[in-house]
Formats: sequence, C-alpha cells, structure tokens
Amino acid sequence: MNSLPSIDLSVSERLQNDPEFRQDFFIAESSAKIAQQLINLRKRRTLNQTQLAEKLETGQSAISRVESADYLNWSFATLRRFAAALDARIRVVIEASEDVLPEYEEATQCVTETESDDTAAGSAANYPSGDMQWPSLKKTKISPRPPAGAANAGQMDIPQLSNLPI
Amino acid sequence: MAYEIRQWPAAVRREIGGLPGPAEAAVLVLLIAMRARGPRPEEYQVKPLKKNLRGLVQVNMKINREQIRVLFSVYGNCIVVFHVFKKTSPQVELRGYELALKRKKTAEQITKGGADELPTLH
Repeated sequence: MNSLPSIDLSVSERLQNDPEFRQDFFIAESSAKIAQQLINLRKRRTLNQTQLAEKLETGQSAISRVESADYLNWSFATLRRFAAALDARIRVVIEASEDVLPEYEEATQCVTETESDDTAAGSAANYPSGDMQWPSLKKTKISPRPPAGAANAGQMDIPQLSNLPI
Repeated sequence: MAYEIRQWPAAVRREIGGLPGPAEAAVLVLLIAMRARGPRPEEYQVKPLKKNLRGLVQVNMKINREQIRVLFSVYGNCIVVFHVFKKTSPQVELRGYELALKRKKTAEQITKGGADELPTLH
C-alpha cells in the first residue's frame, strides 16, 4: 500500500556499525525507560508528583525533571532514594552490545524516499502514478494532559524497575 | 495499539539525521516509543499547540542544552511528523511552526485528492 512515506525507524544496522550512535541511542533509550518506570511505579503507589516530592524532601519540579525522558544526569544515589520512597528494588543490568543488538533487528520499514518538496504537485510527481493509495487523514484530537502533579490511579502499569538499564 | 509513524515530506527523516548525534538518537527513541505506545508517551513533554496551529502537536526535548522540537499530527492510528528542528531562538521556533503547518496542509490536501495525479482515496 502506498501512502505517506514512513519514517525509517530501523536502527539495527546503524547500531551495529556506528559505535558513537550506539552509545547515544543506548543512553537515550535507558533514560527514557528509567523515566517511564518511575512514572509507572509512582502511579501504582497512587502518588502524585507533589506527594512523592514530599516523601523525598524535594520539590515537585525535581520529580517532574527526573520523570522526563531527556533527563540524563542520573546518579545511583538518586535512584536509590526513589526506589526507597516507592518501595521498590533496583536491579542494574549491564549488557554487552553484541548481546543486545539482535533485539533491535526488526522488519525494515519501507521508506518511500522522495525529494524534499512541500508542494502537492511536486511531491505527487515523485511517486509512481496509478498505484497510489493515500490514507484518509482523519484528525484525532489529543486532549490536554492533566496537571503535572496529578496522580492518575486509573492508569496503573506494572513497573519494570527491576530491569533497570543504566 | 501499534501506531504507524509517517512523515511529510520525506525530508523529515533527513532533518532528524541532521541533528547532533545525541539529539538524533533521542528523537529516534521517541518515535519508536510513539510507534509502540501512541502519541503521548508520558515521559515526554507532549503538548497540543494553540488554536492557530490547531492539530499540530509538539514534543519538547532538551538534549545537552539543545532544545529540539518535534511537530506532528495524529490521524487515527497514524502519526505524521511534519518537522523536526533545533530551536535556537523564538524566531526559529515560529518559522518551524509555520513550515510544519504548511506541510500539514499540503499533506491533508493531497490525501483529500487535491492533485490530479493522485488516485481516489480509500
């Protein structure tokens, strides 16, 4: 099916061949996973960010900061404090890249490369004619997120703090 | 529910590739998360933009003191990324919004069959 071009998100080959990208990717991925696990665990404990901040004797903004995927300044001491406040165990797994790279092997998404052109006619001309199926773009509304400090007990996920990739 | 991550135009992937290494990796991690979990992974700052940019959603990321913006819209289970750029000033950000909005309109026009070369929509 032809449609808007997919973004090539297959990183397997690049992870194999580009050590610098590999480190950047692993760092970004582990930071995002730590943040995700902390959010899930906090919600499982039915705490909002303010309540957790009080337990840790810090401010809500600090909790918000460390629950962000782009927070990179992790220390083990901080993680220990969070784990204690959330009654959780930390398990650190350090894995050799060659052992984990197969995880990233996935079906390569087909990317329809066209020249950069923002005009409809120009872009359409780059596609083979006659066999295209453009998707119906029906807009989906995204509702505003609840306040940062609000607990969301209804969306509890099972935490994965036990498999913490640092 | 798995989402499809699409781009308009195809140059968006090159925009991502043009970011500094850590930022590029972070954007790819974000898009992979969105593909698996939808347009609002909670560990990211995702916000719908204001009225005049209606339908555009922004992800704010700060990687090594660089502010990265990812602009996209959601259509059912399809997430279409329109622009990824590094915010270096408020003016650059505004230009980024304008470009994303222009691309969004073009994509929507095309998918509605605005161009003669395109087949009937499905």
